[in-house]
Amino acid sequence: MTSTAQVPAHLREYFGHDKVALFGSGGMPAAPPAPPGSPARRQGEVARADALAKVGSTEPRPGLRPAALPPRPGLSRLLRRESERALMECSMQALRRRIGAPPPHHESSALVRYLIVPLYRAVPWRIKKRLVALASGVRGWSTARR
Amino acid sequence: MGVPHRICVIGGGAAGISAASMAKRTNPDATVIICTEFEDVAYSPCGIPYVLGREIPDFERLFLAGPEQYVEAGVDLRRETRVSAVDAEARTMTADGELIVWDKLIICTGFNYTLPDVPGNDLEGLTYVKNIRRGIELDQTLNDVKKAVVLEGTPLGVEMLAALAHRGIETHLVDPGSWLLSQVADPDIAEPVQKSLESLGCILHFGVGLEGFVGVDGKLRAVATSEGEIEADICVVATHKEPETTLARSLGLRIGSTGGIAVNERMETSLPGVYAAGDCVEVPQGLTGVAVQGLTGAHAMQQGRVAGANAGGGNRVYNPVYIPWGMVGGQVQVGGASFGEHLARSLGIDFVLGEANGISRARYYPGVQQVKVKLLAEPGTGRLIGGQLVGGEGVKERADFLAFALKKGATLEDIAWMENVYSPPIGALYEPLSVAALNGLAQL
Repeated sequence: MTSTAQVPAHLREYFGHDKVALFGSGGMPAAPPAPPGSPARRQGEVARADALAKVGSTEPRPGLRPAALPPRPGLSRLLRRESERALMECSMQALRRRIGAPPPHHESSALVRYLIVPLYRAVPWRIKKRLVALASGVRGWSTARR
Repeated sequence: MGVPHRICVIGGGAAGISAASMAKRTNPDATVIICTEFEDVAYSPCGIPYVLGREIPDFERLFLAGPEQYVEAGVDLRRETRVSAVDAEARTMTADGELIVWDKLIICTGFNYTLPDVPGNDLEGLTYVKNIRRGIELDQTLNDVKKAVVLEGTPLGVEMLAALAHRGIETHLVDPGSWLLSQVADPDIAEPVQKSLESLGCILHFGVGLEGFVGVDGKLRAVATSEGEIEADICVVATHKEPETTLARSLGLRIGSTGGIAVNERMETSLPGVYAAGDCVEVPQGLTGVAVQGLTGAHAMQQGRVAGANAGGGNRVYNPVYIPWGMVGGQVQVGGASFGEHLARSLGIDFVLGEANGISRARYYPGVQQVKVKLLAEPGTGRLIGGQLVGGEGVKERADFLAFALKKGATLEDIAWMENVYSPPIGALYEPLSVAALNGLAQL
């Protein structure tokens, strides 16, 4: 079990009431990590030792750069992505003053912003709802409620 | 019980591991093989930012099981094994040169961060928080870091802001949105989180575009933005979770409008006998039927369980999602379910709004915290379409409750007149959700 003495003082109040898992509370024990010698703990120790040995290494290893440019989008994805972006930017523009926030940096195309967004907005939600659900292409779900 | 067969799982994250476990449980006679390109399985990647921030003492605690436990359970776990090709007709896959036959395949290939398509995106110093061993390496690297930039105020971005600031690093956020978590949260819900992060020393730049990464000798020196350069030793890329669908595309599986693999409610793809789950798939949002992708580890685990049960011969159904979410930003809890005001406005959904500033305990009880609630409902019917909360405590349980209420079609009337726990140390007489719903009823 972790004792409060093992936790640096500057961390003890970091989340205040949420430190129950670390300290225990009200007679309930702290939620302990996997005990020493358990398979989970052993695997953790192996992982730590291996990773520390590779700090600064140039050798390729999994998960080093888990980032990729998205594949070239099809028409439906392109339309959805661009429309969503423009619609959210317009909403940000409208709501931002509540907290004195700056305008969003426009990443949507002007064509979508000035042509598709006004068209989309002119359509009532009950019609739009069917259109966006259809365009979304979800199939094989009998449990969708509304 | 079932006919013995071979079930192969590609990916060892939350979806893959739960799919394999459930497949084996459903059909104990089946041979279940998991191939993952990574070194570890059964750990909590969501805990990594908290170890980096020194709130959790060590990485070892994030491990939930050892590989031998899967062997004992009868699962053939192959780590550091990359599946490079899948043949749908022959029902085989190639894993590190070995041809493996499958009867049922479950694809759980997860996500990649969207790589910013700007100059310098290959510089050393661009940092990603995903895999635990690289997280352990990053933890060491951070000892020498003085200045950092976090790219985008996504949930991971918010966690990393707090973690880096907590390490005493000068930490900047660069975000094109107008406020924090602007992909989901309303500005007034995000504002307390922003203030809390600023009180930790974070410097937040909103409405700012990324123009490139500036380096010297292949190493990051600064992040170039539409408002000038920000010096940085590292940049944590916390961009959108792009579904990893390379194998799925090579198989010809149907890809949906989010870029995720399209599945039905049994988590079956467009190819018979092939299932998919987790961050690589898209599923419908419960209120609109619109496909969504890149949800939480809890969603990935449940999807994996459904895929695994069905691949093992069972008949389980995954339901459309109402997306409860929650997190701690700085020292403030924030969360919600389905639509907030910003998302509803963006989509053009009509709504009435009920708001309340409640409290988490009796007002006289030590440690009482404010809880701000916003509930959105359909005009006329009063049926809930979502809600958001921010406060010092009690956000997670309310967000879970909201998602369940949404799933069951609850109305403002239902919430306004619901029963609630009243006990001074844990709950006030007036439940903040009920007060918000009462206020919303007045708008109907």
